[in-house]
Amino acid sequence: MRTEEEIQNAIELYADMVRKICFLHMKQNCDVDDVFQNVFLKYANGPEFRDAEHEKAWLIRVSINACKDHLTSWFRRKVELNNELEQFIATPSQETNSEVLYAVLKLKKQYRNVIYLHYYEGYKIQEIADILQRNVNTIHTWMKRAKIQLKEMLGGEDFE
Amino acid sequence: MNRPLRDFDHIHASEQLKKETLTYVIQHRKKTKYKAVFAIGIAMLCLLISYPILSSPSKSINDPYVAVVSLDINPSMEFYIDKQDQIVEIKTYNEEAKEMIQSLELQQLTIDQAIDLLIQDERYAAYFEDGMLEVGIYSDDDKKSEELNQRIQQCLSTRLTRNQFHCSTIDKETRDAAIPQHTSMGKYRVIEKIIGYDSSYTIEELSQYSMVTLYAILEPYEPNSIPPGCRGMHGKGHGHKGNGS
Repeated sequence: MRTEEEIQNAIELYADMVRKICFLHMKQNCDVDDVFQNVFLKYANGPEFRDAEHEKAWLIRVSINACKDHLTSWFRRKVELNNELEQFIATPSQETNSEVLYAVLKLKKQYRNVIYLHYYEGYKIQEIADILQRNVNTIHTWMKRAKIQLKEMLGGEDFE
Repeated sequence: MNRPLRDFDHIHASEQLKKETLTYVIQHRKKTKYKAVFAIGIAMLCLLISYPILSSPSKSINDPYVAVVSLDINPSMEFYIDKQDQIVEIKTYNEEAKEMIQSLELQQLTIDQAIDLLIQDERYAAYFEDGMLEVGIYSDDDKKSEELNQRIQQCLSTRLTRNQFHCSTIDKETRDAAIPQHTSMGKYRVIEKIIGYDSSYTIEELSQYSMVTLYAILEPYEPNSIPPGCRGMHGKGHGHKGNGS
């Protein structure tokens, strides 16, 4: 079981990342608290990590699964809620690129994950396959399809 | 486009959320610790009370088991087997299995005898008209798993054609993962594979499908691992979502 200091350090280090993953998946800002608490509670009782990379990858996977579990709960399946993008972006950028974020949010959840992990977190395809515990070819396919859909949504502009 | 997702830079966790999360985790961990102590106390008490019952020579569902055998065709069930190869507990996963088990006396039989009785039952036999029996075998002891696998295959071969059944041994990881999903391990083995390729399916959704339907969904991804009796079913109305992901 991890010490309070270890948990506090992890929250400091990974809170923003978990928040971004919540943004990718959650339909309401108010759901984030539940997912957040769940993720770090799992971390508190979680396994030993080989290194910081292993720890980060574990937290990404657990966060994605926590969002998925939350969304597939009985209540969430019965109640349709709207995305609240503005709530997530605390300080909108001067040169905001929300069009791209909205387009990413419109993708299927597995496509959203690969786009985020590759283009924001900088993971390679093999690493994404390891994190999501999926076949490398599956990740390649998801990436390809996600890019095609994004290009269409962005009026023919290449995503990269 | 440079850093297409740069707007993610503006998404942060608030200090309040971090603080509340830390408080929650610390408090909850403490509660868990107390709960664990309380649960151990209760468990000890139950053990003391139930000792005379457990130590009696008659067999009960509390007898330790050494292997588990799951049978899925549409009725979905698991047999828990003791050292003497007798069934000490039967777990059902759907109404069809429940009905089937209620009318048959399978406890205390060996697994071969139980399978034999089941296959001879008219209602169970009817499922073979458009179904295939998936058998999953698990034991901590690999030799035991393999021995049971051989025996069950032999037993099924005398009653069914090769296309009507498929046996596989289940590893501990799959067995452990199947338990919280309330799905038989044999079925879960296939469900896990499907989700590995297409995460748009949910375990809950897939566990409602028959084995033929599950193999039909899996076939495009792993054509070589499909049992002969289920090959070529993909696209024949066996529940494929067609999302292609």
